[in-house]
Amino acid sequence: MEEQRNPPKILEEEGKEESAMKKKSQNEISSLPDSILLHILSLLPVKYAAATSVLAKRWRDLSICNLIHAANLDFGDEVADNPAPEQFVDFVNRCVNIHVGKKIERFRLCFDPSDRFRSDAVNWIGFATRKNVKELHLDFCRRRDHYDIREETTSDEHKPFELPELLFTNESLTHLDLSHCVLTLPLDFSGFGFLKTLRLRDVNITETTLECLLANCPVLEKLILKECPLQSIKIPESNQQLRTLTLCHCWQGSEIEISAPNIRSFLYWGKLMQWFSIKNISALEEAVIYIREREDGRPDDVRIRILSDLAYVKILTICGGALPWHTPKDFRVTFNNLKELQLLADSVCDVYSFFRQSICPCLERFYIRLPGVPEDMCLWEYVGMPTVEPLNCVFNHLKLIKMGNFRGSKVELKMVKFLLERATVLESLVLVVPQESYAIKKDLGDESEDSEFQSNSIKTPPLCLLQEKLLQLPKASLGAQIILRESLEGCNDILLNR
Amino acid sequence: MASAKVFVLRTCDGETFEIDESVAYVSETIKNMIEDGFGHDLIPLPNVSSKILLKVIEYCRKHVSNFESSKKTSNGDEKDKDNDSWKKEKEAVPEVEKDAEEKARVEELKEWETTFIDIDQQVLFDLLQAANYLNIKGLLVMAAEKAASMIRGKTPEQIRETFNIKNDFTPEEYEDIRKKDAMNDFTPEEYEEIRKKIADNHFTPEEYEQIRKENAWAIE
Repeated sequence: MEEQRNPPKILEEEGKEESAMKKKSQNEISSLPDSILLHILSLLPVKYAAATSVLAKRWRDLSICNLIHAANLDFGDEVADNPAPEQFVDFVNRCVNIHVGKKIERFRLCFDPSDRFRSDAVNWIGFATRKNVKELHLDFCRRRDHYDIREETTSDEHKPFELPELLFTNESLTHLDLSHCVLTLPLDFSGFGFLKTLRLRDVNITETTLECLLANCPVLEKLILKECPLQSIKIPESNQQLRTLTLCHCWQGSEIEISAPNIRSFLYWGKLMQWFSIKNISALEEAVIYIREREDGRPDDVRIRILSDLAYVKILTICGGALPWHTPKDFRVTFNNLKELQLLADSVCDVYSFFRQSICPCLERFYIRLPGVPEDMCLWEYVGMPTVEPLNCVFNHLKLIKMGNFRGSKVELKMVKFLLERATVLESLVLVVPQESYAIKKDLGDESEDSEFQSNSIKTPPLCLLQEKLLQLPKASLGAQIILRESLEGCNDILLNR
Repeated sequence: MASAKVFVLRTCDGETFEIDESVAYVSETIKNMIEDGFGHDLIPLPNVSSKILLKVIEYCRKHVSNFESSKKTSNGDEKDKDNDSWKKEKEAVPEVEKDAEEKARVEELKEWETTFIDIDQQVLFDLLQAANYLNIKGLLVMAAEKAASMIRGKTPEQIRETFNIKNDFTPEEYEDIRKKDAMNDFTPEEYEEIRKKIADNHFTPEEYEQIRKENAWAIE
């Protein structure tokens, strides 16, 4: 393609003064050669790249050339602002028909085909497969807002999209990301020999299918299962390369068994399962366990199991709901490698719970997100929460403690005192006070919990008052700095340290 | 391996710059010139101004030092060696194998990149040209992404305004574009014609008209 010479400068019809500066300079972007402009267009989702076709004639050519040779076809994020699905379907069909390149690297689609466009969607997947796409992202965005609440059964329109078998013949896949569809493997499925990342969100898949799929993806490194209706999730030993595993909101999951030997990072966000095990735990470096609810009367054996299985991690994020309350007297997990701990506490007592059950000899950084409500000691007893401070607990490497949602209540200060007395090499303690703080109105020394619990007292003690109280606390590390500050962000960030 | 070798580059406006071998080698073009034996004298860069070369050298130095420090914190993964590590791969789950030091390094690099590429249009386009000529993949990708980000999400009018692109369609041609007429099916022969035309880059006004309609969906 040749470079087009610009015609002499002609003023825009709307003579705006702001663009006077720009008028002075020539069309700098137009002085770039075609290859660079095509490169820029290739980085845009198809919609935006196609929109440049109306800018000027040269852009018209470039836009089409980009489209027909595009290695990255991104038709994503269209549903929200797409009033006319027919137009979208036509557009994609044309792009697909006009494409001459032999291969594409990436194909991304975000579209609810419903019944009308099912065959089109199948065609598009066929297209991507024929072009040996490496990264395939298909989000079939089932629109739940169309659900008719009068009907018990879902109408045809809401039947999720069934992935065509031809998808599974594509042996060049390295990334597969599927949302809101049904996955069944063809009988002659020969596997995805190059698949590194698999993400399934709200994908209707059976346990056997998942097993078969995993067994035939020998180089899989990342697996993400989100909102999938699986009751048991088994990650076999054969997935030797698997390093990252994320299980999120798989609400029916009651059995989790992980045997893959090289998992470094594990994230679980869901309900407490009935059976849990990770084998070969020595490779695990980072774990995030987020189990929100705490059902009364459920035995703590699974929680105990979870804690024990995570003993080798270096970085642990765990929430109060995952900590066992009732453990055998001499139960201790020694976290020999744990350097960083992030506790998402439902109660100040969770801090005591954790350190009663765990020994963390190398802990260096401790982040706590405190609960969002004032705490009632009577309530603690009522629900049977253990409240006793652990006795033999010392932190010889702990350098940093950071707490979010700190309000300066009596129980919080007591916990801070507990930590300060035991952190012998502490360098800094950072306490973040939420902006709209619902701190206890009365004197911080007052113990009448009932009225606190009901009141919405808003008056924050002035920070300087809190600072004074904090400075009076005894500390094992004399050089430790105590920093009190207000947070501008929401106080519900899950992760304080990222 | 830090070698004592130093090379001198000369820009189109006559200024000279000294750089280490490792920094020079970030540019494939310069690397090839040196390997072909042109390194003992000045290396002339007639297409690059001193203002832009300064920026380029800044990038190359950062790239080299970043590579050095990443070798220390990671397992010396050879994959990081070439410019691939600067490609922005948007993954669903962030990398978690790195420890805190590595994380900090990546964070710092991102911040540096954001500041580095926060430049005005003229400089950006000159940088694109230079990165292209000097064959510095990572810089080209970074600059192209910046340019793409200036296009993404804008209406054609806004894009024209941003880049001062002249609309050279006739009023009639443009009127056709504005019409949202998407229901236009091409026959396979028509597509074949279009494909050939695109390869040869010859459009007649009628063909322009036809193809413009197909993009109605993409036009706000």
